[in-house]
Amino acid sequence: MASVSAAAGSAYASDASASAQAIPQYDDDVVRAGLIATIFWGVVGFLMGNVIASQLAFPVMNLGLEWTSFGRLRPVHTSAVIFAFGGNAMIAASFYIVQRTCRTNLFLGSLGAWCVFWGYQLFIVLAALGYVLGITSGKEYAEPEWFVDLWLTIVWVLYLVVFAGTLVKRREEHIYVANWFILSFIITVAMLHLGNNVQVPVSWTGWKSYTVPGGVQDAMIQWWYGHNAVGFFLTAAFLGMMYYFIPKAAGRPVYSYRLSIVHFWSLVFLYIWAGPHHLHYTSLPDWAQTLGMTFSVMLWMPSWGGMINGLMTLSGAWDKLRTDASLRFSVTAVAFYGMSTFEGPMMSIKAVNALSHYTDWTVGHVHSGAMGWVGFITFGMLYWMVPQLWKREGLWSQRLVAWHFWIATLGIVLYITSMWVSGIMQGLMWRAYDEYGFLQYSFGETVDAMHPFYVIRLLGGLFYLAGAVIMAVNLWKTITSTAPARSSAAVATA
Amino acid sequence: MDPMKLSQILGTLSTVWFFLFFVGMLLWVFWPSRKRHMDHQSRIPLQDDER
Repeated sequence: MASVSAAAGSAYASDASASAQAIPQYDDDVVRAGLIATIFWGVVGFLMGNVIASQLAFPVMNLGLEWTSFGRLRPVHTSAVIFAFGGNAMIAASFYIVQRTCRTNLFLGSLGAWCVFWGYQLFIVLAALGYVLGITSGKEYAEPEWFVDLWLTIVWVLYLVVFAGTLVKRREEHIYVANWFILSFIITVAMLHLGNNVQVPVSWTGWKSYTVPGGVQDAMIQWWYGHNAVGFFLTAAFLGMMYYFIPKAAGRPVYSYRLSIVHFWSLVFLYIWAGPHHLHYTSLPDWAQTLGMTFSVMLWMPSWGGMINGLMTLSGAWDKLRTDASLRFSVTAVAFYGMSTFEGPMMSIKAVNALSHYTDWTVGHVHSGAMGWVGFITFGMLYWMVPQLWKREGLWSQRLVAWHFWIATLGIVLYITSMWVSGIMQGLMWRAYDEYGFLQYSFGETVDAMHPFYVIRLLGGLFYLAGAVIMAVNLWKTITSTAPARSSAAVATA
Repeated sequence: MDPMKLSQILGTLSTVWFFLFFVGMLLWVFWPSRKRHMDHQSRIPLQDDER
């Protein structure tokens, strides 16, 4: 053991001398493009969410056209926020993080990264155009048809090659934990995408295809995909973001590096089994439902371990929340992560699910995770990274950041509280019997009762969208403002 | 061998394997002499010379 620690000691010494060497020329152009794409698709995705929320409250907003009907625009909203906003945020974040934590530039250089970036934008546009025109496989969150799936496979494999290749040629001995989370995200999403899209096209010239598995097997594969899209796309990936940008913005290392490793292994082992909780009380065998529930409940532990790790990183630096806009968003995001990962396992318990399933409660739960966790951790990254990458002294306006923070927080609170009330009421109305044993309420009566909450939800969504527009203006002004750029001397000494 | 029987044995073995992997991971992570090394690794994001 003594020799090991001696070797480790000399490794530190060589690290110190390595950091004195010239900084490698990082490939940051594609990261900048990724940030702009994140902002753009975020605003588009939130706008689409408001359009479909308005359609639920006021059906006239469907406009009587097939292309603008709820059924076609809903996947545009979900894909825009998850894959376009979230995906671009992760492509930008992963390329930024992997270069700096590995002290080297990207494998295949900037060309490979640009192919990933533009290939991914093409995937988004092809998918969204398809949804509007009615070209869909009908699998939730996996709606793109076979030819778009094939294109995404090529792009995603290239993404894996660039990311993993950069890890391989790293100049840092250890692979920092943020990269573990991101690598698990890239590999698992590839596996899920291929597993859930085993489909046979009707012809090579038409868009229509059919999936090979049918019935409950298809349903189980779909929710194995669907829940791990949550677990690895929206959770593991953004935890990678958390483990880099919170220590960075707080100026101190993560609270416990050991806990972060336990967090990683327990999270990736447990999440992959949680999918069956989407199929409670269906024709899925009971044992599989119970298995899904059990693993979902076990997820409480790594989720809260990770949350505590993120929040405790701030211990001794809490005062920074008063002045640092990006930290305020990131820390609130971690709090929302804790809240929605408490709610999720609870909803996966079969007795609770009997009430919550198919109601708005699920919709509210998803949005506390998506708007609170994924949205806010991404906003925190954007506010930190934009001045950094465009070499500005700071953000154009701190007041606008405060406005964004409070208006978006209020929007989320309105959204999730209205959906709790609406969803629980809906579930209770569905299961209410009258004195003769008949169902007490018709479906129409439940829809009528939910109307006020749909209006409140729309209001919450509008607040969230307004916050994102404020952010877009603020960041655009930060990028284009004529304020003197940080001098190279300041960069060197900073 | 009967496929159902084989499936049950593989299921049991995989559970045991996951359990052993998890315990091994915990031992590896919390081994006292590794603490110094890990504290160093946790500082990687703060050492990239930028801010």
